Amino acid sequence: MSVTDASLSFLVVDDSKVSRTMVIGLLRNRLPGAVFHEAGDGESAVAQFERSPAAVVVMDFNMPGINGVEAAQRIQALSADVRIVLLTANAQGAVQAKAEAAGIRFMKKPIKAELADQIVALAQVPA
Amino acid sequence: MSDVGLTLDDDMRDALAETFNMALGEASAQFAELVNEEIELSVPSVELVHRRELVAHIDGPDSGLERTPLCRIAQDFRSLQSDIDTHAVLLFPERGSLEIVRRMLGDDVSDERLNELEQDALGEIGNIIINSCMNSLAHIFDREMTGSLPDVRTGLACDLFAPDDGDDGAVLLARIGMRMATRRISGHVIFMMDMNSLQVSIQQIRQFFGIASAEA
Repeated sequence: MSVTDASLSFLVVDDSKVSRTMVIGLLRNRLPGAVFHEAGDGESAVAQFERSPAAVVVMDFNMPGINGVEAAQRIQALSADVRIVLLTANAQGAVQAKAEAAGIRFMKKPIKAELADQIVALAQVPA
Repeated sequence: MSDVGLTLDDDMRDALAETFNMALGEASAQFAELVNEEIELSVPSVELVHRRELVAHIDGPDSGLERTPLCRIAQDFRSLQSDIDTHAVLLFPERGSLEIVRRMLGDDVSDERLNELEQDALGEIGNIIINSCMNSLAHIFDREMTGSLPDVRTGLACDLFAPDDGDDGAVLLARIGMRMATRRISGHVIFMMDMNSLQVSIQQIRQFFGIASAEA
């Protein structure tokens, strides 16, 4: 798969617009042809995924309404192939354990170049 | 220190200071990554104060924040067992907030865009720093702590920390200063707890550091 593959799509979910902007900015630098969708909470993320399934979902944990792991599990129920990254400042062991149990990759905020590289690598692994 | 019905011995005061020092050490590393700059930490201080005296302590002549408009980012945390509640606050002078956001978003962001994103960016900075502290504290307390979303407000300390009517409980005021090395912008992180939460926390901190109980 080419790194400029326009079929590569991401859904970035965070109640902070700044955080979404930073994540999308770093990913877009690496994948200029990729498509990016955004959502500001878990419920909206599930609805957005139903409308436009994404290859990779980057998900915050603490958001209004359902938390990021709950939203991720609902998205996983819609697609067996989706890869989900939990990107959160809440790095307590209990949260990491919940992510791990759900088969979700855990990353600690703030987003930085190395984490963006890891997300891109995850996106490029064939489903 | 005020007489608030609980005395901290030297070992416990030291352990409390070290607890918050560890928490802020981790948080300052995250903050440094966020703004691409070294963050200097002050020596932590721990005080037990009456709620009605809180503003005087925050706004006092030694705080560096006296009569200064402040930006306050706050989150409430509660343990799953409901035995520890804490109100965590990141505080810095309002005049420094835009500069911190600029460091976070980069110099190529327009002033208009910067102003548009300022509140949201401050909330996210608070989210990262406060949660980073709470990750360490949850480990020491041996509790999972769930938190509210960040609340961003600006104003003088007397407006931001006015006690509720009839609220004259004691609070733990744990403070540590964070300073961006080249920009001379100082921030403070404050954790406030009521007496019940404090007593549970002290018990957990004693266990973590292997300090014998005062009654032993």
